[in-house]
Amino acid sequence: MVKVKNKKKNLAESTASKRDQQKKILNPFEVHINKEKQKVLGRKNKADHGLPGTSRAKAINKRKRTLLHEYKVKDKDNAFLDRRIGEKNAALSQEDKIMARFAAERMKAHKKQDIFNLNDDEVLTHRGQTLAEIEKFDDPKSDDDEFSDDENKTGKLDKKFVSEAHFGGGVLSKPDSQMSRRDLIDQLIAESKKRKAEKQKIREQTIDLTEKLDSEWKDLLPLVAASKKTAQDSEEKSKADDYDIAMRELKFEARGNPTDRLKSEEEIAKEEKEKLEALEANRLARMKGFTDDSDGQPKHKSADDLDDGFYMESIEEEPLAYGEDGMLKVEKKKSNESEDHDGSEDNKSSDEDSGVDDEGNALKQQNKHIGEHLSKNESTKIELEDEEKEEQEQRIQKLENRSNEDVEKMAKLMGWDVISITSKLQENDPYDNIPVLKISDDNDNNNDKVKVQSDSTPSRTIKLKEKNLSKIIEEEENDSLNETGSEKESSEEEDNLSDLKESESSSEDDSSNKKNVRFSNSVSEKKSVSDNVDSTQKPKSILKVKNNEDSGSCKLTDETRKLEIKADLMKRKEIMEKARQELPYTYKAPDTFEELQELLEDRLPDYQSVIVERIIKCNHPSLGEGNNEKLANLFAYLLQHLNDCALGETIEDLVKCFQIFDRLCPHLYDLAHMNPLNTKICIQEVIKEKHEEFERNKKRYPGLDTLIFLKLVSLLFPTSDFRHPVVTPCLVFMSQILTRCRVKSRSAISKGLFISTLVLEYTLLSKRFAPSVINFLRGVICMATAKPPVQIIKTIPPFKSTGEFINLLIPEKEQTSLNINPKETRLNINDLLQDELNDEFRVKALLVAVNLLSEFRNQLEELEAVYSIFEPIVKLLKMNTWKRYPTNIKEHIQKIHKDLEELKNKRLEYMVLAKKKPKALRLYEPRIEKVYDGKRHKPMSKEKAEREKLLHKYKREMKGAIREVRKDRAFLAKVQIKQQIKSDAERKRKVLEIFGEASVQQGELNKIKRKKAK
Amino acid sequence: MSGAAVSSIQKIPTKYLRQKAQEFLTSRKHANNLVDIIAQWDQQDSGISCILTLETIFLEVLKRGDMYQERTITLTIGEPSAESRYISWLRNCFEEVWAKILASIESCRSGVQLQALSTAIKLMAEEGKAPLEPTGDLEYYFPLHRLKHILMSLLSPEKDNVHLIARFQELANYLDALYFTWKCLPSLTPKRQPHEIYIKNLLELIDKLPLPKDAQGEATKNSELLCGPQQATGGFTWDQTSARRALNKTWACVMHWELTPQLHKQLLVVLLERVMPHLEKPVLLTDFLMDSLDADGPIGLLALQGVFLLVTQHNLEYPNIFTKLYSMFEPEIFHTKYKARLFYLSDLFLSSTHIPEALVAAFAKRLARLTLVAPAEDILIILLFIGNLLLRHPGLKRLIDHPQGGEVHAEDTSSAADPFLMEERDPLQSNALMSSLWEIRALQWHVLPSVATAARFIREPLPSVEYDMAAALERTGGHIFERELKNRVKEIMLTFERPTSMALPKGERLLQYWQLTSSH
Repeated sequence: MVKVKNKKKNLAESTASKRDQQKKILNPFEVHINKEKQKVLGRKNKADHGLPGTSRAKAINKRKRTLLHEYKVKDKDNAFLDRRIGEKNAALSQEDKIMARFAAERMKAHKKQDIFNLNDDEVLTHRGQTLAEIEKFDDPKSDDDEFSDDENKTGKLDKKFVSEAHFGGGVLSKPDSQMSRRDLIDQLIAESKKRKAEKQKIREQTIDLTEKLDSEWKDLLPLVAASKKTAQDSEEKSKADDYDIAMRELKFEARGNPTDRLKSEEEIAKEEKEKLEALEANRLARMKGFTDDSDGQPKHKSADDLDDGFYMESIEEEPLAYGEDGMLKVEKKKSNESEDHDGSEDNKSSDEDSGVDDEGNALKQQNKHIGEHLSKNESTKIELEDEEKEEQEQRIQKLENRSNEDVEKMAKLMGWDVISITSKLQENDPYDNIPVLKISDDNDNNNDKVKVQSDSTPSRTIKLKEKNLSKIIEEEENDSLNETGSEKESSEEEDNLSDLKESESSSEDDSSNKKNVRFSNSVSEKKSVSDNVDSTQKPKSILKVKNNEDSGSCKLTDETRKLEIKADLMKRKEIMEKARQELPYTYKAPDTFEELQELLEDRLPDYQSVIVERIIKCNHPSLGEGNNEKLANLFAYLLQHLNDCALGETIEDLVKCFQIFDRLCPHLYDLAHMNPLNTKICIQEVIKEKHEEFERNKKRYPGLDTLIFLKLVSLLFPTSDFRHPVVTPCLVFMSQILTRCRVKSRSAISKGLFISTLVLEYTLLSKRFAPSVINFLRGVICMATAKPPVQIIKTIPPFKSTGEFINLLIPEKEQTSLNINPKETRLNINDLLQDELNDEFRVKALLVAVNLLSEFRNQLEELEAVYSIFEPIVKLLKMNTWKRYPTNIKEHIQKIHKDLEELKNKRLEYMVLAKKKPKALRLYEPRIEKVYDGKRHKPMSKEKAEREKLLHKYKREMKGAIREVRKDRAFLAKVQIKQQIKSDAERKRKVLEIFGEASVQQGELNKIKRKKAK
Repeated sequence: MSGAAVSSIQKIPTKYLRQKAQEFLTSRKHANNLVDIIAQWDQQDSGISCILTLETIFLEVLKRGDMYQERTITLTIGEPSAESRYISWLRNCFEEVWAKILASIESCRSGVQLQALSTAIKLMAEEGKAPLEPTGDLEYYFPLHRLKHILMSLLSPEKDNVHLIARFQELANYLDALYFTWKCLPSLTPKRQPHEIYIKNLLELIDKLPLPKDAQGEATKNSELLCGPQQATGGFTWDQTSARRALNKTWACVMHWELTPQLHKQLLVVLLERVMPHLEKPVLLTDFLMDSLDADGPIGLLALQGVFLLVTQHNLEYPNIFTKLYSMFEPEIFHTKYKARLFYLSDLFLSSTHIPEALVAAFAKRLARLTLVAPAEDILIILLFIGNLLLRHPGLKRLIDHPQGGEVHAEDTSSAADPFLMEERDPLQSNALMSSLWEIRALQWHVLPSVATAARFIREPLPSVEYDMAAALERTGGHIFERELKNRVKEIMLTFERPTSMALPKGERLLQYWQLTSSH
């Protein structure tokens, strides 16, 4: 405080004193007063008086400091700058200066670019050479032997000599040597001369010898040439012609143009991944739909709008967290966003990823990894049934029987496979597709096996890995089989055939009998094994579900489904092979539906698939002009074909229909991608037609032909979009079906559940809410609930609260012995057809409804009103006693009931409107009013006026500059003339001096002359 | 072949009939033709042609005045003249034909029925113009006895005559016919319980017959008369009071009947739309309406509308009306035809700005709950409705913008977090004001984009003008479907992951619950 005060005081004083000084200096004679012609009140005139003298002096002083200085150092190039640290600072002592300089030096060293270089920067030297150079131990004079060790070819003195003779070394190091320094040097010179002479001599000798040899060879030459030429001469000539032709051809042949480098597999995969990610991001954006336009970026931004910069962006910070396996959870979260349902699967796959990476590196790590799993799945271990243990132990026993050599060989064989697969796994993004998931499962299986074993040796784990990998390879083959031609796959086959067989022999006894099994057979056998394995694993997976409740059920079913798919694929592969061979390779694109029917009629689904595939290939749009339309027609015909198939009335027909649908899906997908617009129109037409059909009879569930198209839509179009020209009408359609159709029979219930499942599938990613489905499930559950005698339970149409159908789904008898796995309940195609109910269907339908309900619950969990949505169902579930159901089903349902009850405790927050950003005041351009300044302005355009103004300004500046330059020159001229005058004066003085001396001399001379004359 | 044969058989009698009629009309020599033609009536399926022939004959006869008979007191009891004998014979024939026509109105074939009805009306009109007997000093002659018979056959207790009544409705354009119909009705309505079908027919008839509010003035001049113009008299005058009295009399009888739910509904509709404004003492309906109110569904709703009319126009006091209305909002309403009426009514009820906010809030909240189960088209209506409620009652803003915000403090842990009580019957005690419209926020995640966008209104400041619900009330699910189909987009998005089978590359659910590609 005090300080500040002082400072203020000082400041005030200084200004005051300055003012005083100014006043003091003001000499009235030095003041020039500018006369004002008119006095205007209130106007302050800056230039009412001037001080010409002072200002001139100021200017001159300034020039003296600048211009004069420059003039003086003109033509003088060097200037010495002392940049030593602290040199000019008198406050620093000598030691301080040294310290500061040293510190600066160190700093500089640390600032170097190679900060990661842990080695010392100081280069250690020994006798002028860096240590690195010395350690090379290279012998520079290896190629030329003419110089001896002592002397290198550069002619420099050798090391020995230098060490002895230079720097007086000779005297100091060898005090006892007899020879004096001079002698030594003489000796040296003599030696070198001698050596040179020898060298010269040898060189001359060689030259002589070569010349001699040459001359002799020339003599021999005609003899040799004659013997060769005789027979081959003519032949060679003709041959040469061929060669020439070939050569010229090659010469003028069009050469391959340089293209972009072929991308490596990794790069392709990476690009693929990026593309998928972009598409996924795009999809998410579309899913959000309306949120985009409402709180997106402000539309317009004014240049000087400060407020809009204050746009709050919500940055979702994800807490950095680690999963149980030490993987970053970020990935998991990301996958959760996209695939909410099987987050745990992803989790798993990600940690499997890491595991597989390890495989490639070292087996030790592999073991460790498995160890982790062991600890993780300990609870599972305990629960394993005894039988299963035995079974697995047997299997392991078989594995052990194999010799160690065999194992090593296998490891080698598999080596490259491991690597290739790891690379594939690495490429896979968080949203892995099936193959990777499969791998993870398989790994699990293996881990379990290992765990059961009492002591797991490394070799055994290798075996297991191999088996595992062979499975993976199979799957990959299957994939490739589906996607591309058979050629590619065959090569892979050859590669893996051996190890497949071997692994098979390890696990299966009987397979040793057939050594030359065909690949496909062996694979299918293999498949059965894996199936077997899985069936034993089932209880385990249920227990797992308990660990992570949410995704458990889907994971489990995924597993089984995958296995089924696998088995199915194997069978199919065989058929496909056959189909590929039997069918002709080219097909004409059908012009009418009848033509297509002729082609496809009575064919097996796989055959149909192959036919369609070939039609597409033969008529690819890149191959011809009209192919696009042809394929567009083909798409429409295929839809018709599907429709016709779905109209079948027997179960076999429908199973076949779904098989056909299953096989045709990829091709429909391809066709859709070739012509999206046509696809949209076709599907829209179909849906419209089906809807019209439905409108005619609103109370009846539409047939399978409608349902199958609804499924197709979910395959071809992204169902998560906020609004989509095909998907949205389908959703409307499905809601209508669910709200209107009467539920009276088994098929009606099944179809309703089918549609509910479809809606779930549609809304899975977008997590949207469909009241009609919840209502339907509520109705189904209500049908399965035994009502108290008096009370009428309210239902929502189409379900009735009274009447004969209200107890449709209550089992008639006790069904406690029914063996159904509540998590794997699947309804059958049969249920879609038949009308009469049986108790098994009743239980199954209820289970499916409850399972669906639980999925919807997870989906809608985040909504605030979620309990209100599920409240009626919770009450229904509470009412039921489940006496007629098996205990496991009862428990399952009660668990879901509990989950639903828990929603009640969800904390709610009052709704508050988002605070509006206060609207910024509108900013206007400053309004400038013209002031009358007495000057006349020419009327001119704005631009021109601006230009004039600039020109005027320029002129003034120019004048000012010229004036300054003149003044400068005058100043310089003055300086120069002063110098001139000064030097002239000097010269004059000197001349006078000389003259004076000369006259004195003359005077003396004259004096002498005069003396002489005297 | 057979078709041609049938037509030829039919054609001959038609031709024959026409010829006979022609002969009959040209000279009295062929008078017996008439008997032949009448005899034809029942013989074959040529009913319509026979009716038509007789219609032309009698229209002509009436026009000529051949059946006109001065009512003279014959002093001589001698033989009547040939002329008068012919006339009386003709009139007997005419009566016979009338009887047959009335009988065929009740016949089973609808074509014959309709033809008979129109013939009867035409004959009645012609008779009105040219009476059979001198009309005396009657101001305006109308063949009432004919009309009464027609009405009796229309209101048959055995058959549902909706189509005939619809035809009869054409008559209502003629003021005189309308007037006399009203006059006839009281005598046709029995005091004691009639048959159901009779009630139905009667209600249908009343529904179809308009009763002009004040027809005395210009309506008399402008509208046509069925039996006019009549030279003799000064013309027809509409007597509003007597028409109203007739209606009141009729209705007084109707009110005493017992009704099935179906008829109850119809009766309420007729009452509300036709009868109510003309009743002399509508307050007398209070008991009836109160009883009806207790019924569920549409009956209750219609009764509520009646009560509302009484409350607003006839000073009835009924404090529970809002509770009643509140209880009508049940999930079932979305599947009845009266949904639009309910929304219209509740919009009307709640249009007052003087009702307590807690009440309106309860309505808003209850409706919001209903959206969770409603079909899409109804959600759109409800959203508009809630929007209007929020607009009218600024205090309700707290439902979407709570002044304090923060978490809801549940009173006891057993109940759900939402303080609103759906089960509470009294809207004032449902705690609606303590709640928020979370349901609408849930709707923002509705599968249908139109609903999701409509539910967005709570995020933006409310508009200054109320939403127009009229268009939304008429929309059905089909509309939404069509609109979504028509929705134009620039780019058709496709999935980007190629499926290898019918399973989705990710997120497959169908195959998780369904076994489709194999039969077991």
